[in-house]
This record gives sequence, structure tokens and C-alpha cells, in this order.
Amino acid sequence: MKFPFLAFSCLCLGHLGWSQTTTSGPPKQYWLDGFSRTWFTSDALLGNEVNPASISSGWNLLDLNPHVNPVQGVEVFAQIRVLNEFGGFFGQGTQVDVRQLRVSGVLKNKVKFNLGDVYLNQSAFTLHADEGEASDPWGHAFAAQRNLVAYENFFQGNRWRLQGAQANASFKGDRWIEHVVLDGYVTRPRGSRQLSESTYSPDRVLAGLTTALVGQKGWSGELHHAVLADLPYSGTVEHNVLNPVTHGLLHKQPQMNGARMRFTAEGGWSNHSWRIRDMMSGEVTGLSDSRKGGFAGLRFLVAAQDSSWQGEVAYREVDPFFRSAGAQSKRYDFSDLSIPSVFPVVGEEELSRSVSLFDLISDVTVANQGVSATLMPIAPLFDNVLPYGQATPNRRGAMAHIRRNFENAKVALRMSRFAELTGQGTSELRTFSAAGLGVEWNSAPSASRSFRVSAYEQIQHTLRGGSDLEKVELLTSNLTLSAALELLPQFWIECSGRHAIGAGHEYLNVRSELGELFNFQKTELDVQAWMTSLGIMHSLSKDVSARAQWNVWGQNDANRSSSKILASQVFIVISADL
Amino acid sequence: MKTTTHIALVLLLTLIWSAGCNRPASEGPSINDLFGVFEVIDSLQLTNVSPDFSSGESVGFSCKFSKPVEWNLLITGLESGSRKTFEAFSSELFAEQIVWYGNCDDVPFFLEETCEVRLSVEGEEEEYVAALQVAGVKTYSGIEVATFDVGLPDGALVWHQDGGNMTFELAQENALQGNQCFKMGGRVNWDWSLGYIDIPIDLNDVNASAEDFFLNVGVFGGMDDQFATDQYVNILLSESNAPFNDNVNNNAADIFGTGSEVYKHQIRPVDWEGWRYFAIPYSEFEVKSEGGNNVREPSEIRGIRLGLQACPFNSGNCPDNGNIEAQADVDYIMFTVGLPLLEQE
Repeated sequence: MKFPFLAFSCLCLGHLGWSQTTTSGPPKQYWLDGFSRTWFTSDALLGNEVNPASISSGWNLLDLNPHVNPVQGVEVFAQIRVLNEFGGFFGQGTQVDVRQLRVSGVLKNKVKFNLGDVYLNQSAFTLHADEGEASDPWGHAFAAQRNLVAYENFFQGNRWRLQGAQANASFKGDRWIEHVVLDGYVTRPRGSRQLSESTYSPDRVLAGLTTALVGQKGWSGELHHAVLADLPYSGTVEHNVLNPVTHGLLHKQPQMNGARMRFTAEGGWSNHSWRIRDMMSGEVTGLSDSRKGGFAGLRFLVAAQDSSWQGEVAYREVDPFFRSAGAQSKRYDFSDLSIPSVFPVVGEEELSRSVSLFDLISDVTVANQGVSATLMPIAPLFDNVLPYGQATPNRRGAMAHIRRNFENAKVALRMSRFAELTGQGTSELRTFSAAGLGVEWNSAPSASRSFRVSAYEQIQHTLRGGSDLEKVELLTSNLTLSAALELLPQFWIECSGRHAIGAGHEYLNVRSELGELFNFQKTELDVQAWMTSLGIMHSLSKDVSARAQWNVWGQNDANRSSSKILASQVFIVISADL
Repeated sequence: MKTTTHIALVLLLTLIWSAGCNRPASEGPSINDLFGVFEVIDSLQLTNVSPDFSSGESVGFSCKFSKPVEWNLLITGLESGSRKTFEAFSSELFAEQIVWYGNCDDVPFFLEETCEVRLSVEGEEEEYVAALQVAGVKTYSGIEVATFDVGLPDGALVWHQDGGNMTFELAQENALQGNQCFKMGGRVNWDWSLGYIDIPIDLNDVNASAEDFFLNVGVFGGMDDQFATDQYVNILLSESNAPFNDNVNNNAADIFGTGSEVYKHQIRPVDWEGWRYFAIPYSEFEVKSEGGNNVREPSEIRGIRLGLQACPFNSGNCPDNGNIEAQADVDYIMFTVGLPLLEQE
């Protein structure tokens, strides 16, 4: 499929280019940019004589981005990838692929539009990609690995990469309303696929509309609506998801000398159901498993005019059955189907290894690019409090966040306490407490040698009372460290580390394909997972950098000796913006 | 603006209040039930301890546990060794749902014999045992292709190579059903194909889709754990309208020739001892050669070919095949509509 698509794309681009030369109008514009990366890793198990495995892998890739302006105000963008995996003969293992294709522009100087591969983030409860378990609040630790995973999986901030169309327009008003913004999108997260000779999954569509109003005297509001729906007649399966979500926000920004403030009240609701398609007649006969859920919250944000400090407090309540596929889909797949690329089986019994901290940070295949119609599995070791971000269902509680910027340092403190609204498997409710403290220290601009040190520690505690069987107590700690020192001009020595500890026990939800909670998996955690990195980074120019690292990582689960692993990795990456 | 603020707060509180109205006390199954002490509340009961399956009788099984568990119910024929299993995750077996109609998971078929019923629960040592007596065996329904009990089917053609110890013939020993089966075996060092049997079929009255139309066939793999390397049964179904045996100089039927509408499935490898029974939906047959409309239509099937193939010794890829004869006998070849034969109620 790739080559016909590539040929078709080249034909389209060629046609646009050709038509440019035959019509009068503004000067034709073509330009190229892109990205190139050479990546090599060599992994080895340490202290394991049963599986003395050592594997190497890597590739060269060139992402070439032709941009074409066929007419003024319209740009056609394509990203053509040439990738050659190491280990094959020349020509073998080489892939040529159209990785992205998009037409964007402005119609009548009023409506901006994007068609093709679009990156969308609507609101935290409708369509939003939470950064998830691999995040570093300072953004420095394992930056090379995290950039690699993000680039290969189209992670851009909190946006989901989807295929479809998006348009927005803004209008100026008068009297009460000063400004109005309208934004809408229609995308297809999943196309119809053949599952067997006579069974096809349906097309899955995600569409949304946003209205933002800016009023007078500091008032503003937003209204977001998104719908995820399977189109039953495009497939032959019995259950077809339907998930509309609405989110409204009202903001007030009072005038105050020396500080900026914003009060926000928000609320919304969702409905999650399955449209049943009669397998004999093919007709849609009704809805099943319809679950409605609401949410509401208050937020207060205050910041200094010079951004030297910022504080936020919030209270939020999200119903147990609030479901929003666009906001609750996770960046990382912790299901049993997610198999690590490096050493997928370990130990004498060659048992499958579950996703560890190392895979989370550096494995391109563990990341998830798709919007899931049901709640995805979570990893309590990394986040048990808000595993689905702000839209995590079944939570009531408050959080506070303070950040202070000094001349060469930053300090952040984040605290939260939540509780369940409905018990899971019991009427007893879990309570969640979390605290995070971080600091970043940079060299002064006048220093002869630049350096940077950052640290962030996050502790989470989950507690539930009740009978001996119902009780839950889980304590986790995630410490992230990073440091870099410029030894020579544009030549840095850098190191990173992350250490996760979990102790206690928890029940993981086991859900059916339709999202129904039907079982629990009792999980005893007495685990440590870590990853450290030491290496050099050299900026050959503004756009070209090279990194070589020695990474050591491991996991030790006292309850599962078979999952114990200690491994090292040589990691080399050369990146160039073209 | 104070009025607006009040309105916003009232709306928010209303949202919170209305969201809380529909909340259940808990979600999901009770943890105390799931992880609590296991007990049998109602012991294993059978609705019929001497079923006559030939007259349409059945047996229902019931049992009740203190919590949902992974359970397994195994019925074993003490004479035939045939087995039938039921398994699920639940706290109760309902006699209306767990019903045995006399069928088996795989061959051999149940006989008129005493059967042991054994109910086991994952994580629990104790098992619950009962017995029943089969008074009459189940009669399977379907479109008969070949049972070989009274000889080869009418019009069947048999062809085989001139290899060593070639046995493409009826045999009385080890029949799966009845008193005869069709043996396919021998040694051919120069070719994959050892031989085959072609059987003409008339399915004009069949009205079923390819997904709902199953070919059921028993295959005997051999004995003493001795199998030729990569031996398999090659099955062809032809929808060609050509005469079945127009050219007697051909190696058997003409309808499987190049250019005919033929679909193929392989049972590969055949590397087990004794009989196994396969049910293959017609939709899973792949195109062997194009012709006609290239749509799998059960009513258009005109013939079936069952052949034995094995890796030839002379290819150099299977040195062991120089000292062993390939074998894959077939028996009880049936078409069924809707369900595989062994799943019939």
C-alpha cells in the first residue's frame, strides 16, 4: 500500500507543481526541509548466564519535507521517509514511505484549515493527550530517548495526531462579546479493516466543535463538544461505540496590580454506549451498556506579572462513569499485548517481560498513537492517582501547584489529594495523596562554563480500608535526576537517572472489550526499577548534534524473581534538522 | 457581575449534585467474593445420568460456588477415551446453559459406555466427580461425502505414484467411524505428491454462505511416533463445470486442472498419533487456480480431492524421508451447515 500511496502523492504534488507553471498568479514557491537521524543501540544483559543475549539494532532515516504553495494562502506539505535498518544488505530493509501529508491554508483571510494529518488538542476532557508516565517536569532527563519516542510516534505536546480535516475562524464582536473563536474538526482515528473474510471493523470517526468567547471585564468562556463514533454500516461487527462529550468553562480574570489571576469554573458530561448491529439483518437495533457521567471543577490561577512565580489551586470531581476516548486514551500501552522490543523474554523459563521503566522511556513500540474507545490499562508504579490525566474518572479532590523562578534556579511544588466517588469491588473508597518537589539549577549567563542540574521527586500514596481482602495500600516514589556540564564549547557531558520504587498492594481493573469492569487483578508490588545514563553530546552546528551514551537499567521485583533484569545499552544518535 | 458569579456557582453545584445522583455504591464484582474463601454451595448435579443421545436427549450440569471462579468440567468416556469439556469464569453452572448433547471435543467419538464427569476449579485442589451411562450415542447430521463403510463413493477415482509400499485403498483396521477408512501412504522420493482420491459431489440443494459451510474430515496421523517429514493432507474443492472424468488419460478427475475454479486447504503437518477431526469453513480455503467467478459458493462445489503429500527425499531437504513411509488416512468426510460437525447439539 505504501508505494501506490507514494506514487499517488508524488503525482498529486507533481500535478500541483505543473499546474503552477501553467497558470498566472503569484510566484511559485517550493521549499524543502526535513530531519535526519542515525540511531544505533547495542543492548546486553548483565549477570545473566542463562540468556547471554546481546543485540544490536538501529537505522538511518531521512524525513524529507517538500512544501508547495500551489496558490497563495495554501500549502501542501508531505513528509517522505527513507529508512534503512542496520543489518541488511544495501537495498534490503530499506523503506520508502509517505509519513505525513497535509494541505493547510487560509480561505478568504478568514478561515484557517488543515486537511490530512492534523495535530489536535481540544480540552482536557474532550480531546487531550496527557504526557503520561514518562514525563519529566523539567524536560531534561533522557531527552534523547524521549525525543526519539515522541518523534516516531507523532507526539507533539498534548496533541493527538489524527487524520482528517480541521478548520477555525475568529470574529470580532462588540458590546458584551469582544472576540469569538470557532474551531471544528472531523477525523478518522481508525479506518474500516478486514478482520476475516466476511468480518470488517467499522470506520471510527472523531469529530468536535469548540466555541470560545472573550467578553468584557475579564470574562471569557469556552464550550467544547466531541463525539467518537463507529459508523455501523461501514463494518460488520456487533458493537459500535458512541461517545459524545461536552465540556464548558467560564473564566474570570480580575484586574490586579502586580499579578495576573484567573478563576475558572468548568463542568460537563459524557455518554458512552454501544450501538448494536443485528448480525443477521445488518440493521442497527439499539443501544447497550449506556453509561452517563459528569464532571465539575473550580480552578484559581495566580501568577506574577513578570512570571517569577505562579500558583494554582483546583478542586475537581469526575464521575466514575465519565468516559472520554479523546481525553482518557493513554500515551503508553501497559496491556499484556504490549511487548518490549528489547529482551521480551527473560529468565530460565523464558517468561515474557512486562513493560518496565526502560521501555517506557526508550521503546518506540510501547507508545500508543491511537484513541482507545475504552479505558486502557494503567501502571500504578508510575501513576496511580491520575493515570488518565485530569479526565481520570472516579475522582474527587483538590490539588495545589506552586512554581518559583529565581535568577538561575526554579523550584516547583505540587500536592494533591483525591478520593474515589464509587468503590471498586467494594463500598470502601480509595484515597490518593501525591506530592512532588523539584528544583532546577542553571549556570549564570556570565559563567565560563554552562551547566544544568535538575531533580524531581514524586511520591504517591493510595489507601483503602475495609476487610483484609478489600484493603489497599500502595506507596510509590519516582525520582528523576538530570545534569549536564559544558566541558568544551558545544561539547557537553550529560547524565540522567530515574528510579521508581513501589511497595504495597493494589487491585488492577480488568475490563471487557466493551469496557465493563468484570474482574480485578491483585498486584503485590515490591519493586524497584531504574535507568541511568552517562554520555556526551556535541553540537556540530546549530542544527546537527550527536550523542553517545552508556545506559544501565534494571528492574527487581521481590515477588517475581523471574522478572529480575539488569542490562546495559550503548546508545548513539546523530540528528540533523535539514 | 456578582449575579453572574452566583449563577455560575449554582450551575456548577447543580452539575455536581446531578452527577452524584446516579452513582452506584460500587462498581464491578465484589472483591470479597472474588478473593474470598472458596466453597461449593450446591454440589454438582446432572439432569440425566443415562442419556440416550441417539433419541435427542441431553445432560444438563449445575453447581454453585461461593464466588466466581475459573472452572472446568471434563467428561471422559472410560472405554473410548473420548472427551468433552466445558469451561468458564462464573459462580454458578446452570443446567439450562451447560448442556451436553453427546458430542466430543475431538475424535474418537463417545460409545455406549460409562463416562466420568470431573469438575475442577482453578486454584483449588479438590475436584468433584460424578458418573453417567451413555445409553445411545449421538447421531451427527450432515452431507455425507465419504464414510467408506460400503466401499468407495460412487464415481470416486484414485491415483497414486509408482512409489514404494503405496497404499491408496480401503482398509479395515483403525477405522474412525464404521468398519473401513481410506488409507493413503507410501514412499515417493522424487515428488511431493504421493497420490489422491477424487470424489464427485452434488451440492445443488445447499443454500449456505462460505463462512457457514464446513468440511469435516478425520485424519489418521500414524503410530509409534514415526512421521515422514512435512507430510500433509492437501484438500482441493472444485467449482468447475467441466465433466468430472472426461479425459481418462488424466491423473484422476479433470475438474482440478489448471484454469478450473479450485480452492485449496492443507492440513499441515500431519504429525500426530491416531485420529484427529478437522472442521474447515469453506471461506478459509484459498484460491488454488482461478476460473469461473472466483467466488466460493458451496452449492457450486462439484468435487473434492484429498491427497497425501510429503517432502521428497531427493530434494535433499528431508533426509529422514528416505527411510520412512508417509501416511495420512482419512475417514468420515462430511459437509455441515452452520456449525462444525463436532459442535452440533
